[in-house]
Parts: sequence; C-alpha cells; structure tokens
Amino acid sequence: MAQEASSSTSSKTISLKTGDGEIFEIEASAAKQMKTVQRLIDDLGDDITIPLHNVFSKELPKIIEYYKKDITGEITKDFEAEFVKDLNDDEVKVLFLAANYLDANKLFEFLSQNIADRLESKSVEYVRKYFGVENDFTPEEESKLREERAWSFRGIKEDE
Amino acid sequence: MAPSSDIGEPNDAASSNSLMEDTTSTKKRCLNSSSNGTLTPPSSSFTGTLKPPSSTYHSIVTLTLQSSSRDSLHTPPPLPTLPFELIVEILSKLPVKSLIQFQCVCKSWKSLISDPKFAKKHLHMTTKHHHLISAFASSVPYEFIHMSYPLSSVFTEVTTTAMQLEYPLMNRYRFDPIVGSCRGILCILDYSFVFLWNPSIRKFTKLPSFEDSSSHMLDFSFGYDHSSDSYKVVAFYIHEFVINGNRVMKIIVKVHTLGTNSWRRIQDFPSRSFFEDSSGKFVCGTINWLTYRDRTSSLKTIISLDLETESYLEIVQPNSEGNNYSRIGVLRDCLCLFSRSSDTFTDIWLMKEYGNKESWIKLFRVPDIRDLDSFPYVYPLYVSEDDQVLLQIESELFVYNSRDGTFKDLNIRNTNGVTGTTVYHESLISPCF
Repeated sequence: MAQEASSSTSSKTISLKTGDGEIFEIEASAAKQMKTVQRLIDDLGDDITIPLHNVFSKELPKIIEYYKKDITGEITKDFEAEFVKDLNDDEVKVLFLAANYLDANKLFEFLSQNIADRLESKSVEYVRKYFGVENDFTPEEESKLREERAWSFRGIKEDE
Repeated sequence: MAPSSDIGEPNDAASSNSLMEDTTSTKKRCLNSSSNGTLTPPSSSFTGTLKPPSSTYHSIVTLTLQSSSRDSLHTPPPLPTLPFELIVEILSKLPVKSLIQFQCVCKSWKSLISDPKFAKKHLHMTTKHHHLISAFASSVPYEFIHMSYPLSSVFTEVTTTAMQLEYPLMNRYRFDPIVGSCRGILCILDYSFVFLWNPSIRKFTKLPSFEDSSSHMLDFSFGYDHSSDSYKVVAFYIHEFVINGNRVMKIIVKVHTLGTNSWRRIQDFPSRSFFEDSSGKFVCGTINWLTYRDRTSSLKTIISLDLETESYLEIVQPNSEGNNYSRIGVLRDCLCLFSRSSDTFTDIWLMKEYGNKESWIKLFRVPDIRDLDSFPYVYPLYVSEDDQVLLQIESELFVYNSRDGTFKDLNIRNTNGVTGTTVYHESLISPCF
C-alpha cells in the first residue's frame, strides 16, 4: 500500500548500512513501511546513513526488492510466489527474522505464512531441527502422544 | 544440538495479551474472521527480544559470510533460532492437522496448541482454513459418509485432498442434519439430542437432553456470542394449547449456553410468524430466520435473535421485485437474501452492514444452469475473493464464475437439501468443557 510521502521525502532516498558494512539505497516511501527504519530516521534524520546492525547484505536487497514493488502497488500472488521460489527453508527463516527486526509488517505476514506453508507437510523431527527446539518428552510420553494423534499423521512426507 | 535458550517459559507467549488478538478491541457485532487487519503486528516490544545472545548474533554473521563458500563448510554453523513469540506467529498460520502433529514437538508447543487463546488467534488467521463438508449415503446401508474439501482447491483446478471425517456417532437409520457451523464447531441433530462436534480436532460433546417431549421440535440453531465468549444453541418448538375453546399456538424458544447444564427459556418467538425455511442462519452475533409475517400473509420478513441480549428484531429486506421464493444465508460474513422472482435466475442480495437496511446491495444475479423446476433448490454456500460462487442446485454442487458467467460441475456427492452440505471453518476450538 503506497503511502503518500510528504513533499520533502517524495523523491528522497535513504541510505541503509548493513551489519556487514554494505550500503544500500531505498526510497523514503519504502522506508516508511519498515517501522524500525522509520524510527531511526526520525531519531537520526534522513541525511545520514542508517545503521542496521542485525540485517546483512544477503537479506537487505531482497527486502528492498519487496518494498519497491509494494509502493507501486504491484505485489501479487504471482510476485510473492516468485519472490520465495528459490529460497530454501533456512534462507526464508533468516529473511523472516530480518523482517521482524525491521518491523516490516507486510513482509513479516507474508513470510510467516510462507514458512507455515513449507512446514505443513514436514515431520516433527524436521520442525524441531528447524526451530532449534529440544524434545523434552520422554520416549514413552512421545509415543503415547503420537498414538493418540495417529489419525493426524497419515500422509506425511519422509524427512528430507 | 544445543538447547535453545530463546524458547522461554511455556505459557509466556500463550498468556501474554500483546501476542494474542485483543478481541475486545474489535467491533462487537461483526468480527470478520478472515480479516488480516486484526492481527497483532510485530511491535516494538519485539525488538527487546531481538537483542540476541551473542552466540546467536555470531551465528547470523557466520551464516551470511559463509554462504558463498557453503561447499567448504565442514561443520554447519548453528542456525538462528526464533524467539517463541515468532514461532507462535508461524504456528497460528498452520492447518489444524499439522498443529495436532506438532504437539509432539515439545512440551511448550503442546501447551500452546491446546491453549484456548491460541485457538482464537489461529481462528482469525486466514480463509485458507475454510472447507466444504458434504455428506452422502455410503454403499453400506444406513451409513453416511462425511467428506471435507478445502475450499481453496474447490475454486482452483488444484486436485482436492478430500478427507473423510470420522463421524463420532453411530449412524442410525437416517442422516443427522448439521444445523449450524460456527468457528470450527458443527451442531448436529440426532433425533432429539444435539451434539457439538469439531471434526478437525476430533472432539465432540452431547448437550443435555431437551425435556419437553410433549411439543413438536421445530428447529435448532447454533451461534457464538462474542460479548460473553460463549456458544449458544437455540431450540424452537411449537406449543399448541387451548384457551377458552380456541386453539392457540406459541413458538417457545429455549437457549443452551455451552458450559452450562440446562436449557433456559427466553422470550417467545414473535408469535404470529411461521417458518419458511426453519434453519436459522448465524451471522454477526445473531441468528436469523426468514418467516412469514403472519398466518394469512404471504409477505415475508427476517427475524433476528441477538445472542447477547437474547431479544428479537426485525430486519427489513431489500426492495426486490417480488420475492416470491426466497431463502436467507450467509456469504462473506454478511447476511444474504437469495430471491427468485422469476423462473430463470436467482438474485443474491447482501447486507453489507448488519441491521442497516440501506446497506443491502445486489451482489450477483445467478442464471439458472438449465431448466429447473418451478421452485428449485438453489442455494449459494460461499463466495470466493475472486467472485466465484459455490452453490448447490437441487442435489448437485457447482461453482458459478460471476465474471464470465460459466458453471463448473464439482462432482461432489452429497445428500439433498441444505443439511447435507456445510461450509466449515476448521479450528482448534474444543466444544468440551
């Protein structure tokens, strides 16, 4: 959703510096969609390079690409499908964390749904690894739970 | 694998109000369950949890810097772990079946997934969870099969992963009608017993019996009262008695609130009305019936029962040319009127703002798919975002594309009548107390 930028920011670009020292440009109206960035701009002014310690040069260009499309109102289901097509599960996770850090709501919602879609057919073991979660059930507890839920486990893909 | 220190207390996220949708802040009457606008967006409170312990910070850096030389890695760097709050955001977008499996992941997940607050958050997530349930007679005598079809695949060409639902009751010699479907719970009528069933989580409960056997059971309806966060079943029955030699008819109404153990009598149904189609439709915290104004008139009106105040109101219909034959229903979370004033099409009227008679709009005019009988059963069940209408015509199901006027036959078997096919929104909500 394109925000109506004030006249002083209508064609302005903001410089963002990633945690690994690279600098990227983004339009001010796109920066507005990332609340963390906007807060930093409000604090530091829009003339200086905004430091983003927790976002890196691998993720930021992708995020900028998303919001470039967003401000022209061109985000479609096809664009979103294309956007994540070549990303593996871990890459999406890192991007998701970055979207959270930047407080970029639309991207955050989209990526959380995408991760959910990816996990839908995955096994319990995969999901534990993916989130770095330790299994704190005893073997007896776990097998009892699985037995009670046997009906929900039908049709699961083998672990990749 | 190092245990994650980011998971935190099991019930932390589940009980924190900032994470779960604050339902009291939404409009009382029309909770649009498919609206993404009601979600709690990541707020600045999350940046606090994002100051990662230094080991995680390094792992992000390591992962990025080594991405170009992935092949030379001998030991993979530790993957960044998500704080529990973010895991909740992802989990709330999963289908129920996956969530039931993922209760096996660990104790905090099991706790979260069975938490009623999480069930509510999950419910409001997306329309991806909408399904069509249809029931048909199986080849085994006197048995009925309930099948569930994700609506997303009904509208696209994607092959449907139809799932057979395990009906919790012993099939008797007739089909048990589904009289209501609300937030993932189905209300089923089995003779004079009422059951509430959530087929996604396989939980069901039987309501206390309906004592009054001297009367004629007319109808049961089912809905949700947002203000008290409770589910209510409404029972109507006709009570005939004689006063001074005159036969008098009253329509007695009783309400059962889930979690209590009785049926409470409320105000009688506005007594001079009869039912055209006796199943009440739940929308915006109310149950609605299309009724005749009185015994002699052929004029119809819509009577609405507010589940919060348990009082009645009349809903004025849209100006249509002569709604000789009509039914009401719910589409896009709005009350609708389906009217046939001639023999070749059905008009779908939608009340955009519940209770506001100026807000009726004519959504679509659905032509008849072929020559139908004079009073055919044409009943729209669901409208997709791209204006395709799922409807039941006689005993078959079709999708009408309002943009190009074409019909698609769904080849889904189901019984005759509205009780055979229901739109169902899967959820984690349990009808059991």
